Amino acid sequence: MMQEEGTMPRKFNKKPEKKEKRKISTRKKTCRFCTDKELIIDYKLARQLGYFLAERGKIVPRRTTGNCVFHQLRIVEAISRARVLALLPYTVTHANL
Amino acid sequence: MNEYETIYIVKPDLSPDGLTKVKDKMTRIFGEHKASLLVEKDWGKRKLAYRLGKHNFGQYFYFNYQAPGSIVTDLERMLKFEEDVMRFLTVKLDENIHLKTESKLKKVTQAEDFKIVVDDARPVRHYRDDNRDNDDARGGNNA
Repeated sequence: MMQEEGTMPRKFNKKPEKKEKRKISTRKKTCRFCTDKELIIDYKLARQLGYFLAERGKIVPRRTTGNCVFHQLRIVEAISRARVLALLPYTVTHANL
Repeated sequence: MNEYETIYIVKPDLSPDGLTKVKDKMTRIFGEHKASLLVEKDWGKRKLAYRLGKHNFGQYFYFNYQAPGSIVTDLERMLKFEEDVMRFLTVKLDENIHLKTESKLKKVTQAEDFKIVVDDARPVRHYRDDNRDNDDARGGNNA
């Protein structure tokens, strides 16, 4: 493209840098409740449910835990019940201050 | 007839008289609705994940029963007006038991036998020093 006088160049004549390809982990996560049918999701088992809470007390998303939709919804239900009974915290900020 | 379970949390410093008072009201409502109690458990005093009012501890009571659905409104009304009850939760476990030939305990109810530990639930951090917490528990036991 020819550049006219007095105008700014539209593009810098730079070669586009090649993007480094990220290494994507190929290991497929599987739902732990589908593989092990003995595991129970229950709002009374607060310690088990604590595994699905992040550091700040948020519920860990499905993409990190690898749960299926069916079991993730049950976990969400169980956690919200456990929170009512003060078995699990809503947030960590006002937990035992 | 459905199967329900109810848990309520009572203030940690409540006297034994106060505990029986709440329990009597529960049993009276069970009698009125002809409920059959399956499991009744005292979970004891445990640490709460967050403060309820000014309390860091609470006494948990667990009931598992089969009754018609009208019992839930009566129970929850009673627990709501009770001042010493801090929290309560009722969950339906099974429906239409009288239509089924076999009424066996579900897996959910059996899970109650697992040891439930609240004290070291993973995300809970203890900002208060432990001595003060112990004082709270001891004071409750003496009362």
